[in-house]
Amino acid sequence: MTTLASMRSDANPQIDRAIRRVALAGNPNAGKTSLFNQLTGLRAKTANFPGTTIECRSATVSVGGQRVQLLDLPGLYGLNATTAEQRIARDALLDQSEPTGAVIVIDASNLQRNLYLASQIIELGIPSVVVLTMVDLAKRAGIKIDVALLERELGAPVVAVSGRTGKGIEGLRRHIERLVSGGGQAVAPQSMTASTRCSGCPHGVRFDWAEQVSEQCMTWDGGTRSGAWTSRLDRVLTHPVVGIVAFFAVMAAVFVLIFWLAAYPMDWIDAMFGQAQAWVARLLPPGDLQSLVAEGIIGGVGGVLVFLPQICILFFFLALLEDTGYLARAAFVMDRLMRRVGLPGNAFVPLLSAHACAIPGIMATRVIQDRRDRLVTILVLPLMTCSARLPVYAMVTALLFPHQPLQAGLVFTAAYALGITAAIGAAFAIRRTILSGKPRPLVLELPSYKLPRLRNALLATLDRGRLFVRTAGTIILVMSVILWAMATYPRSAAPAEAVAMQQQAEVLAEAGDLAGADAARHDAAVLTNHHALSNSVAGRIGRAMRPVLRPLGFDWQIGVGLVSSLAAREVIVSTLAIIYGVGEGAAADQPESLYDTMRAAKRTDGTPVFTTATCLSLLVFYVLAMQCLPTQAVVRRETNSWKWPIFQFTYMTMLAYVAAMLTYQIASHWPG
Amino acid sequence: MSGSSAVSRPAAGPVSAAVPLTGVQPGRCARVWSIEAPEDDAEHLKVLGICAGRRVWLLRTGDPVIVCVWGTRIGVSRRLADRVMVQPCDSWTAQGCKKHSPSASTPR
Repeated sequence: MTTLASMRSDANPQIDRAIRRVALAGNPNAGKTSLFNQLTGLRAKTANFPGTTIECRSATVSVGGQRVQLLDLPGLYGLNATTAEQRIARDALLDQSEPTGAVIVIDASNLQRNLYLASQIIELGIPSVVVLTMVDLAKRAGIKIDVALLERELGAPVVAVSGRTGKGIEGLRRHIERLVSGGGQAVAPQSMTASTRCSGCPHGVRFDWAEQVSEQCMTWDGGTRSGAWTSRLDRVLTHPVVGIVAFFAVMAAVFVLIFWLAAYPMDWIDAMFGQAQAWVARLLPPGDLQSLVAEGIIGGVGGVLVFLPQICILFFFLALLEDTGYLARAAFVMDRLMRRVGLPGNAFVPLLSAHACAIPGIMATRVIQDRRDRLVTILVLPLMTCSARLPVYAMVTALLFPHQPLQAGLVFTAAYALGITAAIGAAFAIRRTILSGKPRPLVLELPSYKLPRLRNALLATLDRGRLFVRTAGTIILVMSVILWAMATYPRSAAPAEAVAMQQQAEVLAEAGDLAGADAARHDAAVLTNHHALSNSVAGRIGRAMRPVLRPLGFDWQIGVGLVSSLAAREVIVSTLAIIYGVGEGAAADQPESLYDTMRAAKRTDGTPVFTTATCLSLLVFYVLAMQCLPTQAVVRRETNSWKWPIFQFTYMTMLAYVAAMLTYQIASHWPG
Repeated sequence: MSGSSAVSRPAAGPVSAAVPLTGVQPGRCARVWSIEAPEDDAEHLKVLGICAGRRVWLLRTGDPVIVCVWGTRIGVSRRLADRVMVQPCDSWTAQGCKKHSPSASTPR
């Protein structure tokens, strides 16, 4: 049994060394992040604890002329080293190479529970300052805390800080200053160790102590019953039926807002990158360098950064919802439904986020505590229809049902439903094979509802946006350049026809027929590009894949599209435009010309390429295939191993292949 | 289950009729007697205060249930709540989840 006295034995021998690092520790929902934001503002950087996927925010601030590193530890209920978070927090606090002080964040409206962690940290001998947060909330609830008595009981200075007004933050800074200048040596107080009642539960002693201290230090004047609002709202929002309806209403509203609000900045970003490409084309002489910069780098990066607005808006709303306390209720009401397919309730929001883009969805799985539950969620998440699939769906529906909005809508709906069904099926299968077992049972604090803080949401958005650009951005840059090279090299001489057409253009120009000359030049360029792409590495791979692609009804041109769209799915549209000889510009300006050309495309035996069967097969393939290397890079980062992204790529590609083949075979043999 | 379960009981106290937490009427106070769940899950409950000897209130039945401990609402899967054995006690809560320790339930 762990007694308080025995826990003192691993007290920290850091007394004589100067403290340069201060860690913020506290229960989840205690207002720790808010306080961290107030202390650090925009200086905070997000990284992972070395060798883990647990997030760590830190910032260097100046306190009384000293540079101090502030560390935001994950939210904890205790330091018992039973979870990875707890172990990491414990290691960080006891780090011998980096003496660390602690700012212990305590929710004043919930003293007892918060005292548990506080006593553990103080008993480790870590110089500490205790901060009471939510003092406004406690005041409104009629709770008064005897700060002087609490200081005596804890043996550490206690400061009250108002999250809303920032009152008390200067006092906290002074205490941090004292901590780093060596005046904050903590001594485990008598009252903590004096409690000897043994209740059998190893936590019992500490809980008894916490109850005792909070009874002594806290008075309640019988004012407004706190939590009455929470209770009233929860009667509706955690209701098994009404709660789920309310949840879908909230999520639908968020998604409408995301797609509606993001449309404008997405257009701007698109236009900006278009401008940049035009500018590079003017500035650099035509050739490999121009092509690399304009198409490889700017085109590739722009194609993915265009999703940044959606990602930022998504995270903004999620941060707001989390701040209100609603996200915990969302996980609560969805838990029973999600459990049936082998996923925990809090996997729902990440899965939903994946409908904008898989990358923020994967980043949002950090709310799932259990590693295996989180892995299953990450593995099935890219099956959700993300925004990058929409141009592909649009192309296929236009080929299948030109000018028939009803049928086109049905195809879109079916594609979304297929993705969701496949994700459920995959989760079900993974739970019975490689990650067998049931998801961890839900144990989740439902914090009191409160008004969200705009500042916190904005900082969280900025943080996520930066993370997306940094992780996805770098890999996308590399991938874009590699894929550009594959589509460009080896260079081939312009075909004879194109040369002849170019000469014809010169003749026409000399004769004064400028329009005719432009048309001939354009045709020559289209022909040259088509020829270059089909002889490039990508073209050769496409042709080599012909036997594999035949059962799916794909020709080698689609194979080239598959290869080139590995960095971003929507690239297949522009690749097909080049390879079917429409010209890249035409595909964007007049999509109809691309669709007409594709409809007219013939196989060597004279039958059309894009039959209904091929179109459906292509659609099914794109719904299910893991055609997104940036997502894979993020999966690697989040799982800390290449094993999972490789497994994910393999199972999704196999699933897509088999499903597309079945679709093609059935559809092409369908009577009539 | 037997090997991996962490069963911890208070050293003293009447051994009268421990029932699963889910069997208590909503709103009625109950004292936790033991948690008969695998170590990891039990630990998770314990650090949140659902621990032998503590008083808890069941606020919502169904799956998951809502339990109130020390003024905080905690959602717990029914499967796990079924394994929390409690002894009902006499105190009731009028509404919602109190922010105070059971002994401070009357204004002072």
